[in-house]
Amino acid sequence: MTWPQSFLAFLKAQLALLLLRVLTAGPIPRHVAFEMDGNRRFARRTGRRAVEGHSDGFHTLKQVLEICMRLGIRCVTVYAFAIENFNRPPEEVDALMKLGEERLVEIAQNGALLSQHGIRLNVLGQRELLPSHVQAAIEKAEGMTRQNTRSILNVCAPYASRHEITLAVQSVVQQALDKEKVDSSSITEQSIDENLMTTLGGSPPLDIFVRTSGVKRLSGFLQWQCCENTQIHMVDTYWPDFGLRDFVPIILDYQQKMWARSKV
Amino acid sequence: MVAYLFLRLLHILYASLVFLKTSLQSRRYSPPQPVTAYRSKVPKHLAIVLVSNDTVHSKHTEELYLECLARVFTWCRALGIEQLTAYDAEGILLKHSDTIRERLAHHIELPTDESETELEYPLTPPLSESSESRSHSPDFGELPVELNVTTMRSLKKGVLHHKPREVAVRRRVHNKQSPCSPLTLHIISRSASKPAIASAARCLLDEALYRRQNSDDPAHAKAYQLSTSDLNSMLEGRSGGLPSPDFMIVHHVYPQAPQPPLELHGFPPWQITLTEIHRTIIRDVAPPNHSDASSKSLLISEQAFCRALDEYAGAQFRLGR
Repeated sequence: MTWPQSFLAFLKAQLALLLLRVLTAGPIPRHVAFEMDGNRRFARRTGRRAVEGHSDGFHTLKQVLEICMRLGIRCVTVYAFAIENFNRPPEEVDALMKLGEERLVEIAQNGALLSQHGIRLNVLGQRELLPSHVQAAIEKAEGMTRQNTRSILNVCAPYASRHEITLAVQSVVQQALDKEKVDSSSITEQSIDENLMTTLGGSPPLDIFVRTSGVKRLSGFLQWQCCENTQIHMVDTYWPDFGLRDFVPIILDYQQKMWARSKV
Repeated sequence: MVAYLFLRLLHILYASLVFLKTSLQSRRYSPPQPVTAYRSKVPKHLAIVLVSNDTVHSKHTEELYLECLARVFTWCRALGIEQLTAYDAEGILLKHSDTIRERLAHHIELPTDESETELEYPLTPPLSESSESRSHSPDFGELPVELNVTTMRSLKKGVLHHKPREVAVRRRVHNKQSPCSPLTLHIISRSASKPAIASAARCLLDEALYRRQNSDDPAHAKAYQLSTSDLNSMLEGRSGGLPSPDFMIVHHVYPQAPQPPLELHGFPPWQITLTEIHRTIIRDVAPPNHSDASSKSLLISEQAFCRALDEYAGAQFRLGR
């Protein structure tokens, strides 16, 4: 990079930091979720393989996580892999597994992103469906960040919302059966909520839900958590392109909602 | 403090940009295709979510909701959409389900004297009374659980009179849908949402307790297991349940400009896995001569409905692949 280019890059970075500082003067969401869609289409646009799109997507995840931490968003949930994604071509699934295995441990290392910001990693989903070496890597990464208390990163893989709700219902029924005196009135929507994987990992209620690549469905992500009091943004940008340009308006919308609510 | 002032400035800048963008978009406004135009894909099950301001809760709102539902109902019948779910969080529609039944019976055209149209509530299956009828694995679709879904079906008896219509409804699919095909209407409120899942859970507890008490070895009961498909049968696949809509239209009867982000207002979470979601835009419901759209209440217009259908027809499904 030439001298003027690197200076401009530096200026741009400083302006971004300033912008984030200004935003923190207003209400900040507690919990934001990202459905990181569009990696493959992003790659195809430039004639590359889908796998490279996922790699770019991971890079964007790190950047967005950095932005969230600077804003003071204490909990971020991302949809990394759906149970249905096992239907994808085996090479792609293998590549995704490899990506997850390597990168999760990478960011959980001492001095890396998660420890820098005190982020605890929770991997949510039907872990038993993953290859055993991936499960081992996940346990290792979670172990490395277990003592972090400042923020939470939930990585949903492999996840399906209905499965999460079913498990929560199963848990509340089991808990009621285990009591000395079985009382069905102890089963309420609150008790089901408390048994969702996100809540069990310490996540607060979901304030903002973002899906990229222009798709206008939830596709099995956080259905219980986002169906009430959550602002939903379906943005056209592909995930690897997602950044401040898309995220700042989302935060501004949230702040307007909070300010309007405090007036009532 | 300084940062706060800058933030307020940023908000003003943002609001101005949004205003500019919306004005530019309305210049380039293109109306959607008409209701009966050909569309490659039409939802089999449509959900309409009606939203009003939290504080305004008047007779006027009730009238707006009823009129919106009547309109959507008529368009759905014209398009051969088989199921319609109408949701509002507060339960205004549910409260007026009798009125709805009467009004919709009037709204439907009667082409000839011989054909009869009526709305009826489907029969609720009898609760299984005898204990011997319980098998080891219960039929989850038959467990007695109150899911708070009011269902009505419009029927068409007799011969349908074929009047030449201006535009015919044509679709790629082979089934020939008549302009006034039967339509199942589900009316729900928040009580059919998370509370219904809790209700299902309580029912499952009763079932599990019964089985444990009647099992060969009650002292060493196995861990309780529930599968997604069993819970699905309870919530969706039964008389009294609510199937998943393909498409959802969210409509605010008191729209604000600029429009705040989309929310789902407590719509049942189980059923929205693959539902395509759309919100009506102000431009479609408020024609340009309305100078102060925010103070006016707005019914869902045919244009808004058509734009929603156009969007649905253009949506792509990859199903995980």
